Amino acid sequence: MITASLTRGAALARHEVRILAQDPSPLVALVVMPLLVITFLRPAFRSILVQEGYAAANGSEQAVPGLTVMFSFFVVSFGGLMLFREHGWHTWARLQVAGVRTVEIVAGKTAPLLLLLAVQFALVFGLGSALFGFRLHGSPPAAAAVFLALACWLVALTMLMFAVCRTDQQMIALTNVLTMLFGGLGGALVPVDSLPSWARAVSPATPGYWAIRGFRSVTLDGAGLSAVATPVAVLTGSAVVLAALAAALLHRTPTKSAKGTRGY
Amino acid sequence: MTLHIEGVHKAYGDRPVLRGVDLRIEPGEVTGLLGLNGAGKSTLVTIVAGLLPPDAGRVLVGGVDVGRHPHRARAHLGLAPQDLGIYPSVTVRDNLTLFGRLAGLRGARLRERIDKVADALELEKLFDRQGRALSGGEQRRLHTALAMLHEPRLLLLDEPTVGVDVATRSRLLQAVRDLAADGAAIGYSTHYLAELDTLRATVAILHEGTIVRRGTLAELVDTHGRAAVDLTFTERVPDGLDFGPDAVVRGATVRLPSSDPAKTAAEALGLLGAHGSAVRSVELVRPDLETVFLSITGHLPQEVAA
Ligand SMILES: Nc1ncnc2c1ncn2[C@@H]1O[C@H](COP(=O)(O)OP(=O)(O)OP(=O)(O)O)[C@@H](O)[C@H]1O
Ligand SMILES: [Mg+2]
Repeated sequence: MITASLTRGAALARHEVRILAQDPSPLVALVVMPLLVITFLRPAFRSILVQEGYAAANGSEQAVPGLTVMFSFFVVSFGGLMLFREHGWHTWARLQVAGVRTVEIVAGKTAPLLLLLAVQFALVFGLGSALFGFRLHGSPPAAAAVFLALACWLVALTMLMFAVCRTDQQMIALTNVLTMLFGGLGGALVPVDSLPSWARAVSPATPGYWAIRGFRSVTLDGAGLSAVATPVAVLTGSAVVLAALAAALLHRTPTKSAKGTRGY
Repeated sequence: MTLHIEGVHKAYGDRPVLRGVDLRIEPGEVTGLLGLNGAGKSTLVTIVAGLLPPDAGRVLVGGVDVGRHPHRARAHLGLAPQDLGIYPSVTVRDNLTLFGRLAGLRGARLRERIDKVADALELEKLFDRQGRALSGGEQRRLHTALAMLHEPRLLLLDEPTVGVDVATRSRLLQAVRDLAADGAAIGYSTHYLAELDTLRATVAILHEGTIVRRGTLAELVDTHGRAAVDLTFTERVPDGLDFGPDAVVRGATVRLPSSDPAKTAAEALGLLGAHGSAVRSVELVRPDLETVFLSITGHLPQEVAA
């Protein structure tokens, strides 16, 4: 049963990659938005980092990962569109009749977001090094581990938001708010130490905080895998909780397909 | 695989649509589901596929209760809903591949099934076209093909021939007959009665929430069909003429059901008096499924389709 489930999820994921390949415009937003904001904020980050004691910093060490993390949240909106458009296409009902469970549809269709995120990070980090002199300094596997933990967290959040939201409009509105909130609180716009004290206090409750902290220790402190263990563990742990919650909610709402479309 | 519908009720809000539907379709049987617009054909089909819970009653597919075990019941079920459901931004082949894989097909077997349904529905030349680049009838063919890929033992087709050209229609009907010959039970909703003859289908007429007629074409025509006279006027049916309680007026035509149409025609013409010159044609109608349908619903099926 588990293998059949995985087979169906994998078939859907492959199919979704094909759909994404037909229209990669989400990637433009995911890549261009952080690059633009990096251009504006890098000089300010440089002064702040120098004050913090990183005399050789050029600002990109914070700006590049910070803003990539912040805009990576938009995959949640894209994931929402990907899921809700199945209702508009009337294909959701067909998937159900084909024996695919709601959880499998949601997991299969959101898994390719991992790929989208990998391309986003690779492009922004790559262009960041060409345009803004960004260097990883620390261990690439450590950066990869932080990325993977964050990406899993975002996929889990997408599943949960879909389980909770009734329409794609709701999901997009909520995601936009969360992007600014988690990005700002996490230290993407100004480093956490420069946030107002109340914000500093709640900052560790946001995923952005842990992701940016993990990336900073790689780019500014030259850290290796063991130094990012805490952020990776926190992100992975909360991703598991979100995904479990989403699965439970989706399991309880097998008639989710009825929304939006007539009868089906 | 037998489909067994027992006492199914369904209301949308406080508006009842199905009021106790009982229907059985046996393996190898094609059943044409007929009814006016809004009769509840699509609602019934959606309930059978387990996509909509009935308010009361139950549906058994091969003995498995759809409400209790939707996944087991669906393993051998295919549904092409009335609303087109295809992926517009990927190719015909990718659409077929996805649903084939979801049914557990792979490799040579997957290719073989895709070729088979593509042949049955004339999709070969369209393999590399995106779903959105197909014409309406082509989309309908792909939509139907997706339901037949896994050789379902119970196939539900909700108006599959809407917008499909004559050549494709006959191939589609042939494909449906082939599936039935292999032992599949088939529920087929349509407004085109001639298709049921081609399909050698049995008939179920859904009217005002229940199945009011059920049987083979011949049985229904023998027991419920009445011959009739169609009086067609040049412009419209003149006011102030009383053709009796059974007369059905549609546009410029009055249908007068009768067991002796020649006599009825003579009587009717006598009744016309001065309006006689306004008659364009008089036609004797033999009993057929249309007359059965009309006598129950007051409408002709092609009026519903139009
Ligand atoms: N989701 C819905 N909410 C409320 N009413 C609905 C819904 N779906 C269908 N109805 C109503 O239920 C009735 C039956 O609809 P249904 O689509 O089952 O009819 P049908 O026999 O398939 O008609 P058609 O020949 O037009 O396809 C109609 O009066 C329709 O307006
Ligand atoms: Mg219908």
